[in-house]
Amino acid sequence: MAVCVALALASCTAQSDTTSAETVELTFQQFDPAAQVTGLQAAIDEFNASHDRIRVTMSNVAFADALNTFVREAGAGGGPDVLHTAFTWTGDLASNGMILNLEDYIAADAPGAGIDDFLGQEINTYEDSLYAIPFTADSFALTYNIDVLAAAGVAPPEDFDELIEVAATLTSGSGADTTYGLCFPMAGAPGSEIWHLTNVYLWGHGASVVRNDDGDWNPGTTDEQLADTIAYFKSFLDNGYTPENLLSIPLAGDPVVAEGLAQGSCAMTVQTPQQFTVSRESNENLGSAPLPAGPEGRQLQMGGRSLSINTNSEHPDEAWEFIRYITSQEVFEEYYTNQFPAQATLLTEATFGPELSGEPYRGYAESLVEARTYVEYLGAPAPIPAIWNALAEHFNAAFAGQLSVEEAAQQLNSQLEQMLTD
Amino acid sequence: MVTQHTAEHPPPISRRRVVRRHRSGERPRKGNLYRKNARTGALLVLPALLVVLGFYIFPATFNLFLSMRDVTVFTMHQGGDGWVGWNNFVRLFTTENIAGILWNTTFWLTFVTVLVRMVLGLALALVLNATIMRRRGVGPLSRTLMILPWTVPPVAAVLIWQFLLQPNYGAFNQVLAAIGVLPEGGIGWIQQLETVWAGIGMIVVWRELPLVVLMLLAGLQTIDPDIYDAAKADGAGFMRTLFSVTLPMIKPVVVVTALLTIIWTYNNFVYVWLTTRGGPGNSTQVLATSIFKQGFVEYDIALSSATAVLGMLIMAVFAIVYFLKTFKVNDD
Repeated sequence: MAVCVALALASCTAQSDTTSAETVELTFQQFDPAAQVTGLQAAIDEFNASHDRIRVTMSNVAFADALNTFVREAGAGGGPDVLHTAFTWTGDLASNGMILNLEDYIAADAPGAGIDDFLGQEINTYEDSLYAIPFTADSFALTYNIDVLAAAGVAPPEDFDELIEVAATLTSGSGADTTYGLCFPMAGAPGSEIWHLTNVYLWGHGASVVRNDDGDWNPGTTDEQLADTIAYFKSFLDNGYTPENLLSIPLAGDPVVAEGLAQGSCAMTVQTPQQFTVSRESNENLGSAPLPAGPEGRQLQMGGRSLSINTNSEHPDEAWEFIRYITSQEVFEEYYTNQFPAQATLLTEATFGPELSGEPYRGYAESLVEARTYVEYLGAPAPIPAIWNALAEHFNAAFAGQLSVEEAAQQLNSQLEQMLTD
Repeated sequence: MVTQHTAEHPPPISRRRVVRRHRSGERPRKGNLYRKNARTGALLVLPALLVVLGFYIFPATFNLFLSMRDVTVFTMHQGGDGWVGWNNFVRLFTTENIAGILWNTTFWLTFVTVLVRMVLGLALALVLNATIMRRRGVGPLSRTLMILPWTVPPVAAVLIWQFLLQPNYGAFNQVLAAIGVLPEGGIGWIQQLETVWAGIGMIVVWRELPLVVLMLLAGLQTIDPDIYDAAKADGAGFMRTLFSVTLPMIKPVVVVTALLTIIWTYNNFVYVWLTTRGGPGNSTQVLATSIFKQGFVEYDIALSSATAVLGMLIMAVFAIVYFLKTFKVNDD
């Protein structure tokens, strides 16, 4: 009997080796909520069905943990073969040797309609080489409840001065029946989306959070400019155009905002396409418009996800084959229809599914054409998430009254100076 | 039957002889049996020693090493970019609001919530231990109900309380507004500087109170009912009995419960992080949340490690007090 068991084990081992020699197992780690990636899973299933030699398994990780999880795994010599990265992570991962330089693969077999067709390349570049392929692109847009705006007889605002006037007009009622003119996340928590709105405001006013003066990094605004910016956003709260509970809410996907927009307790919000889609599941009569312009014009923000290959991957060629497939027109038209591709040709030529097509998403389609990335902050001595967190924390301190507007501006700039000096 | 003692089977050493040896300073002879017992003892202790070395001494030493290096999340796997000596500690005490963080941790998170839990816990334990509860047959039911909050995972407890405390539609606010305690719409408990610690405190106390009640109740049940009868016969009222009989008799339990609760609370990360992420601004930042924020939000592992070293030193003080008290209690 012992001999039989030994023979069975030996045959199992041999079979396993043979299988691993024939089929390459790849892991693709992504960080969007599971409910938003059913189409992505369908695309991967199709890839697996049409490729005998490669089998891809998708693993999910929460966005907030994705970077730390990968860095920890990669540091120990492991990690997924292909990973989803935010645009702003590429520089840090590339400079620490954790993801592969993709230039040779691109030269041999470029994805999509050629690499020049991809948006956001500059923020995925490190030392003149592309380390991540831009996968999806998104932007924040002003989303609104069409019925509430129609009842008040106002149109979506075009600039930041108009934004506060329209918010004032739309605010009405009291207690649980209040309609708030504008709901936007105001928390000081890591990842708070006040960061994006602030950047759009600062860029529209000819400033930025930090800037690179020929290699010398400095805060991008004076204390007075920053105080004016904080005061502008704080005025929504002080005047009752924005509900107080948003002081502890970092994301516009929170039910208070997403459901508030659908039910009309929030007349306008600032959301990503995916957050907007969640709101539209409760009420389809919602619209979107590009975020307001400043005196220097409309300066919109573009974020997105990229695809990188882990340096530890034993199958980089197969990983590249998978990346070429997953960025193809077929995937965005037939499977992954709830995301905008980060490819100019596909944005204009591809036929998107009902999730992203038509008038409701006009604001996003218009925004992506004009939007800019955070590439100007790359290379700063402090990582972007640290700058982001410092801004959110100080803005929130001023919103809540822990610091005056002037103190918050002065302390934030001091902290930024220190971070940029270290 | 008379036992024949031989060299291999020596007579047992009497306690009196052991005490005499101890007082005279005479050292026991180290025979084979002693050496064998010593080896067995060492072997028995070895697994625990390895666990302590592997899971406490090594991580703590590695953390101390990181606190003196220039290291980020990205360079941690290679041990960082070089030595910076005490620089991270200088940064901690000059650029971080460490005084505010220590105050929040020590006073608001620990002192206030432990005090409330001890007072409420004692009151509830007295109620549950009351004779009338046993007579009415509701003792087991009330103890089961009382322990329920402790069975709720902390994450779920925070989420539930966040909804309850929401202004406008939160049930807690609606009830207080309905009876006229709060204005219409309630208040933003976890959004306002004036109330945010009350909000966090409510969550901590609600979730963690049952443990205190259980421990104090166990202490109360060790008191002989005859002592209460004697106190009653002597004309002692409730307050006199409480302060002259009950509290002195459960003092060891109260001390150990308070110390354990302090240690668990001082280290706590979940309640503050999930409720406020340290906000509004940085007004509720505590040691544990600062360590996380510095390390995993700002990727500054060096500063995070320095803060963790500071936290470890403070916790060591609590641990020493706990052990001293525990041994004293056992001696008593």
